[in-house]
Amino acid sequence: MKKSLAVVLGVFVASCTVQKSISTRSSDTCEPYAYSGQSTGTTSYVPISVGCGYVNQPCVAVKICVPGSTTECTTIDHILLDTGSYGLRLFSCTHSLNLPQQTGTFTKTGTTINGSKTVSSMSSVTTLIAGQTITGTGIPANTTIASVGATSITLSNAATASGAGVTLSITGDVAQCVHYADGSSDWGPVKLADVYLAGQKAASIPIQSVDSTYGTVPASCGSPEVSPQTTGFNGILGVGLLTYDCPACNSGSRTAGYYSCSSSGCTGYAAPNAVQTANPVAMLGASYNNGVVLSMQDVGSDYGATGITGNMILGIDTIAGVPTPGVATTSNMSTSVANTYTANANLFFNTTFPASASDGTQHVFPNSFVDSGSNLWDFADDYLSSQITMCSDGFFCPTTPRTLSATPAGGSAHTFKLINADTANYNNTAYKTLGAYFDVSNGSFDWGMPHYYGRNIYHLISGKTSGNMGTGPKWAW
Amino acid sequence: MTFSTRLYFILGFSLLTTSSQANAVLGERNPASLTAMKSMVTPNNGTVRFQTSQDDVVTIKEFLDASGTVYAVRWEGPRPPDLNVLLGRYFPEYSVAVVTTRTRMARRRLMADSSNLHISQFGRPGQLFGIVYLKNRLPDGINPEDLK
Repeated sequence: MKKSLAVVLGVFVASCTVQKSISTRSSDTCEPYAYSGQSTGTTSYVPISVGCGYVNQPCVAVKICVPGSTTECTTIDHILLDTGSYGLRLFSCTHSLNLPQQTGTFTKTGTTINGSKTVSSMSSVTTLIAGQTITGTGIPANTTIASVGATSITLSNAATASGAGVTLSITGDVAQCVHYADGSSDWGPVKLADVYLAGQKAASIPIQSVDSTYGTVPASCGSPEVSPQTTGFNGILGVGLLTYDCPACNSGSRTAGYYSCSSSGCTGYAAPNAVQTANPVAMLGASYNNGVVLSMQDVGSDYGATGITGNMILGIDTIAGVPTPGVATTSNMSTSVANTYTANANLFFNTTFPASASDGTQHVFPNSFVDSGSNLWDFADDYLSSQITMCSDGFFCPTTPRTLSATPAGGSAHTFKLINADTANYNNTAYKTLGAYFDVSNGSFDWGMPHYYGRNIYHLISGKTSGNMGTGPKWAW
Repeated sequence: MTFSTRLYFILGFSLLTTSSQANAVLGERNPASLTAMKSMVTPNNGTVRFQTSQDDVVTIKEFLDASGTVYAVRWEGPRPPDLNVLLGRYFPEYSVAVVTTRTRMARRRLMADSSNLHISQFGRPGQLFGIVYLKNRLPDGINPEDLK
């Protein structure tokens, strides 16, 4: 895969630049991948290609429109299909649609005085910033916060009534920072769009516009990603086990990820679920919204393949039948022959690894998960890391292919193989055999994209139900 | 470290203890008394001392050697903690190592080494686990896997 290799090299070159000065990264500009013609699919099938930007990367195309419009639309491909995150995120430079900004409103109380711009005895001034709009009894229309004091605020217009403990509704533009384990982050405003997956529409849902130049990047967001050409995709379609992006962000968590912004900046904000970036699948119509099946072709060789394709099927157990992995049929959504695996509240489950004691001391990894956004087998096993030759960055580099097995809770042992990640033939785009070690010792086993090849993997969203799987969050294969 | 710089650090930390920021800084001595630390004995009979704190939504664990110097920081949460504060003078080294190691496009993991640091982070958006430790400052009897 020459393209993938070029991308890897491209990042390396960019990294060298960054090594000299981190600030040079921000001088990069947002450069999208041009639409290459990938189909958005028909009815309930979204075609998947593998490796549009890097190895083991499942890629899809999505159509978005200005809410309610059928003409102000665009189709974008080179989008990472990610079952380990939630919501659609598109780099701002991938389209020129004028999407409406998502706003978020929260309440405070304060004391107003007729004819005065000062509101005193505020219940609190956290999450307040100049420029936010404010409404309430005795506050004229189109009033904004002019400045924020220690216990009071100043308005752009004088109050027209006096009152104590007046409820004040404050509204700002919603922005978000998402952090990824590789140290990267995505920053930008939340906007509203009609999102079409295959023939199905999620109407006017919150999506993130990834834009490192938006407002002032909060310090806790680090150095957010700038451009598709350096990340390897135009955006991320998160279709994992949650309906809303960040349950931890909706109460008392001022810097968990959501921000209320105005022309003067952004401040941490506890965003209610309905305001947050939403999983588009959960917002589709009945029969399509309980989850997805990823149905991928197998990769025959240990040393990879090109041209691997598959489908994301919208809805689980809504039509009877079992698919041939990677082949779209009209009746392939049933889990009746699959094992079901239940995720806990943190969307993890147990994995026993190695499945065979002869491969080393067995451990139960409680923070395991299934994730198409991981392009590797990934696990923390101290014994294996001492037994298998490792590359300097923690990738497994065994001198000869190494067969291993792991047992997911509720299922039987699964065998997989690892090859030398340094000598893999990166002319290919899909490998079942790439793995890496990490040493956070948190008890995780990541069933990444290599696990998806040759399987139908069902993802039942938390709180949604299916005939065979019951109530999510669950996986099945 | 000369006496004067040591004194400077002590003064600095006495100021820090009066602020709301309870965390210490990697490679520097912790303001709190070591006797107040939680501790556990490793399989190799080393003693792991640590203190925990909370940065809004992020749980932080700092590991200290017998002199009270922080040699490792671990976290769990939807985002990393404020590493600019926690890593102190090692933050620039951390930042460079993270960016230059991200060459294999694996978004759910990071393992990086620089001259002083070992860096590891893992997880999905919303649930990240991470650790940074000073490779040459692990106390006798303590291995990286003991830093839980």
